[in-house]
Amino acid sequence: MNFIDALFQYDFLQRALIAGVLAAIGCGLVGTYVVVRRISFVAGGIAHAVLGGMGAALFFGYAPYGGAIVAALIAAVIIGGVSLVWKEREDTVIGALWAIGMAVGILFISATPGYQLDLFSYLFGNILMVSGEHLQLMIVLDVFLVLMVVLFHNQFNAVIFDEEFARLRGLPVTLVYLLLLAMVALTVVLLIQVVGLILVIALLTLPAAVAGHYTKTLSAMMLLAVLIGFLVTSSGMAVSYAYDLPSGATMILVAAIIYLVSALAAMLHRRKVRRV
Amino acid sequence: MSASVIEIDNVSFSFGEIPVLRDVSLSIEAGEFIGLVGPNGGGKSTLVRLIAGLIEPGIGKVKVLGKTPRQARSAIGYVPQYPAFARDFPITVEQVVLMGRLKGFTGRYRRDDREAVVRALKETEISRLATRPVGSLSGGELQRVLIARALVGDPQILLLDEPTANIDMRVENEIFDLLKLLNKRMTVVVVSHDIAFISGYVNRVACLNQTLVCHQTEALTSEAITHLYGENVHHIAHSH
Repeated sequence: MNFIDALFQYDFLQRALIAGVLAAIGCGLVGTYVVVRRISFVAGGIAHAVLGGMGAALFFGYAPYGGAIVAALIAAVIIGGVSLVWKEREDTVIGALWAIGMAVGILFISATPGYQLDLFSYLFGNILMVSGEHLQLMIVLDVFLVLMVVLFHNQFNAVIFDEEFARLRGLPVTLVYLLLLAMVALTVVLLIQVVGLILVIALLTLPAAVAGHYTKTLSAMMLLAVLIGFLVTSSGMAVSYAYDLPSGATMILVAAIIYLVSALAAMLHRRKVRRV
Repeated sequence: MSASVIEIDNVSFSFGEIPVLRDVSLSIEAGEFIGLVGPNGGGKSTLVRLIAGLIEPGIGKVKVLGKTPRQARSAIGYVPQYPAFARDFPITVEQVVLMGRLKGFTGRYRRDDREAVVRALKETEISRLATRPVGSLSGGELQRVLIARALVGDPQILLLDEPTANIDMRVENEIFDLLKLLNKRMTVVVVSHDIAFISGYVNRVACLNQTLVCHQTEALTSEAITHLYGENVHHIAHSH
């Protein structure tokens, strides 16, 4: 059965497709900020620290995604605080948080009987296992992210573009930056079920980076990144269904191929423009 | 006597252990066009950043329009030495200039903000660049964008930190002609390393080398220049 026929027949594929749309919205909006502000390492640190929260939540009998949200926000505040007051040690702290989060998570999960299987899906995602309940969580996260971008786009834009000038205009630069990192944290949580926390950075950055090749404003870049994000999740899903491959990893490779082709095309185009 | 708009009172500033400014006092009056000159590391940029409220003095006081620089923020237009942003940032010229209309955490841009942008672009003669991405501009065009961004908030005081450090002579003249024009309605403070060049435009020069070495309207004496830059400066007389 081909993917399109299967899509009409199976609920789980329809849910997966919707999850792909919801993931694309978050990663397009926030990924654009991450790419332009060049904080993908920060996003990676937050993503990996999340496992600590999920493991702890499982161990103590809470919902793992509750733990993920709490851990992601804590990681965002720590990284944001360090990068603001202790700039020269930022990469060390992010690296440490990255590994510590993973270590804590793995210890908790190994101490919780019967959850080893979940570990694999947290790390690498599984969009085909998305439940209706999880879709609701994704919708709530997306609504929040879209609302923040609509309300504060000018402020985010100003702080990301030129922090010093934003400060001169009386913007609370620290607050805006921490808010941005909190949004990165929530986007990470949004993407975990889709591609897993190890692969989150790729889905966060690659669609936005591709969009950056073709757009000259931040808003246009966001919209295009959302579309490319959906192209990545849906076609990745189709390929993984057709060849029975892990969905998260397949999506990431699809994204990587699109990025490479686009980057090459952009480079050739620039060279051509220069020669003319 | 006209009112002083910037009052610098016994200000000292240091980066950690390294003193940058020592005991500087300077009063700038409304409508002045003043040039801050001096060697690299002499504290010119630091003084401008103090006036803009980007940093606070260790000792002494800076008053702008009788208030602290932060309180007077909306009356100050600041043009940095280097654009602090990445040149590949996806943003157009008019969007950059619009940022000069931001007022704190809340608020969206309104029609009067957009009208102010049109005026600022016209005044700096870059209306034709409005929809161009900043990454595609030349050094001189970019400098005009930064000036437009500072102007769009209708400041009473314009602070410029070496606005022509990275552009060629012809454009440098154009930029200073523009500043001369703007000086008709606002106080202009400009940092430069080139006394000879700016003396044709400004009506007062303040020389900084940690301390305020001189501030005067008449031509600089060679003693003052020696004091400012040390012995080994080739001193060329300029006639204007």
